Amino acid sequence: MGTRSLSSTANCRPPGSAQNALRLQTSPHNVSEMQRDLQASPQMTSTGYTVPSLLQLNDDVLALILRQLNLYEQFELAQLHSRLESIRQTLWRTRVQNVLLWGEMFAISPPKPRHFLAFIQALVPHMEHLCLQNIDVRKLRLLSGLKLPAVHTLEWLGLPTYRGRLVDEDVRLLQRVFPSLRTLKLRSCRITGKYLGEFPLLTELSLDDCHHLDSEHFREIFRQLRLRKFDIMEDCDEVNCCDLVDVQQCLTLEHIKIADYHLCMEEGITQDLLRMPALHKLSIYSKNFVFDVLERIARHGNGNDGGKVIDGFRFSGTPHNFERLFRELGNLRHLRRLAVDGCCSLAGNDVECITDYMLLELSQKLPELCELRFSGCELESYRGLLHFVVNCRQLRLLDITRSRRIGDSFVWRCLELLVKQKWRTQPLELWIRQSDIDNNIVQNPRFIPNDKLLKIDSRSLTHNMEQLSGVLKFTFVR
Amino acid sequence: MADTQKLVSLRTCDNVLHKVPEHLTLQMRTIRNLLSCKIFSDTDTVIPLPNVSSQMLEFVIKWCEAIGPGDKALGSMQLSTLLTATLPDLEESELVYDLMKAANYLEIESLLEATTQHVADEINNCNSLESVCELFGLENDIGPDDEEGEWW
Repeated sequence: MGTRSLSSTANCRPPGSAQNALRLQTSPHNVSEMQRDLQASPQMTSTGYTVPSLLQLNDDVLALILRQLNLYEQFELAQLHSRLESIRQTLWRTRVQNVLLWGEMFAISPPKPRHFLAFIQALVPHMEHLCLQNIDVRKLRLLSGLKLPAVHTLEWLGLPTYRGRLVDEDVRLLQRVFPSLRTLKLRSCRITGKYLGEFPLLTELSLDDCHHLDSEHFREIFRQLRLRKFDIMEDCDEVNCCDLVDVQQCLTLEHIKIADYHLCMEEGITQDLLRMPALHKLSIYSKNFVFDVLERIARHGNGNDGGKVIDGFRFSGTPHNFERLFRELGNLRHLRRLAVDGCCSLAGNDVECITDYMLLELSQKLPELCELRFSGCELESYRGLLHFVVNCRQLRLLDITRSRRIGDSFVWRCLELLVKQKWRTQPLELWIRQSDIDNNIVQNPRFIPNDKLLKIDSRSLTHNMEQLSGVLKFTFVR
Repeated sequence: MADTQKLVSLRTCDNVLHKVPEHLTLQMRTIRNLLSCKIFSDTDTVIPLPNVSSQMLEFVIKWCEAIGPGDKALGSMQLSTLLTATLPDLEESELVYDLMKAANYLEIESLLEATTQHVADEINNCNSLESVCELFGLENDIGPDDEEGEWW
């Protein structure tokens, strides 16, 4: 028999066979299915045309259709038939713990207030996390009569226009409607912070683009709340910002994200921050004072004066002075994890790069390094990296994702060194995705016998590649 | 040249026998599971498809040829475009419903996703609930919503 394409389907129709055989056979088993079919029988339109009914589909397929619609469309469609309503309820029972509502959902057919409330009330039994994005603030005010204690996370991502902006009184409303909030994120609001201290269970507070914040209220916030995470890093510009010098009074804080101008980064403040008992991560956005911030933190980050020991540091962006950056990093003596993202010369400046000498000095000062990441960096040559292989005996991960001027020679020189390091108990991992090392090097006969010394990974992605430029992130030994 | 392609015999509900290349039937989980049973592993055995008509099976096979073997991770937009390109006759909703039923019975995930997305897009294109009812032959058995309040 010759090969055929679909047509490779051979129709062997027996003579006299019915074109449209009955699909259902009558048996007690499928009586209910027949009843459903009768219910789902085609509807006649005004023009006399018979419209086949959507309800002829079984519940599984109807559920799949509903899942392709947004939550409000699901709710609206379910209002049209009790079967759809029952499917909607089953879907929501397991699928709406995290709810995202955005303005455009309601743009085409704006709901009446009662209808919007009915929609929210239908969500209530299942919802734990609610994110409201670009929603008219008047819709939020419609909820004033409700109490939603099951919601523990709320994000309000407002419109930058007047109608989207939440004000102080709305914060009070949030406190009444969502009494059990543990995480609150507010973006694009016109609030002073006056009522932010009234969420007794709050552990995470994030404020972004919230103009009119008043320093005075933060004293109360940091005294009253037992926050674990506080993020105000992307709040507003350095001229219109509030002073958060009282942040150190919130002793439960584990993670702080701020900008240098929130603290003025005076010596005393830096020391106090590093004495906060629970602090594990500190992220500081600094536009013009990167080296000052780094110097002040590094000075107290070796555990000498009762402060914390810094064991991880990440910097993203291009510093004005490469040499100074690496010199300051050398002061973080107990560093175990170092990541530098996007450290390359500015446009039109081909001269500046991370030199071999800078890396030699750094490798000698940071003998405890375990993980080293240079992603998207411009190096003088591969030789600088070799110093870390020689001087850092605990180094187990070297990530050079998107970095340039390294080349295959690095792998061969690295292998020569690793062969001699008899004390190594595990292979060195080398991440080379989008670098100038050939991905096929792992198939090279010269490499294959040594894959127990060096594990090359060309797939793993360096996380947080799109970090805000100019952020210094410190992690401390717990 | 001798033909080495294995064919699987499928009998549709309208009593038509189709001989379909095995590699296409492997995209249908229901058939794949049956073929793994000893009783159906002999390709001479005819597999009955009581819920699929001959016309729908032909649509399904066109789809399987278009989507190709393996679990290609296509986005819903790509699936939707492929559906329109492969099966341009799917203008009538009756056909879409029958195809969804066939895809559901044969467990072809990509086709189910494409067809359900097709219907969801049509729902999205309606500008009122009345037009949804009209287009999809729905008769409200819950009762009308009371008129009240302002819109914005």
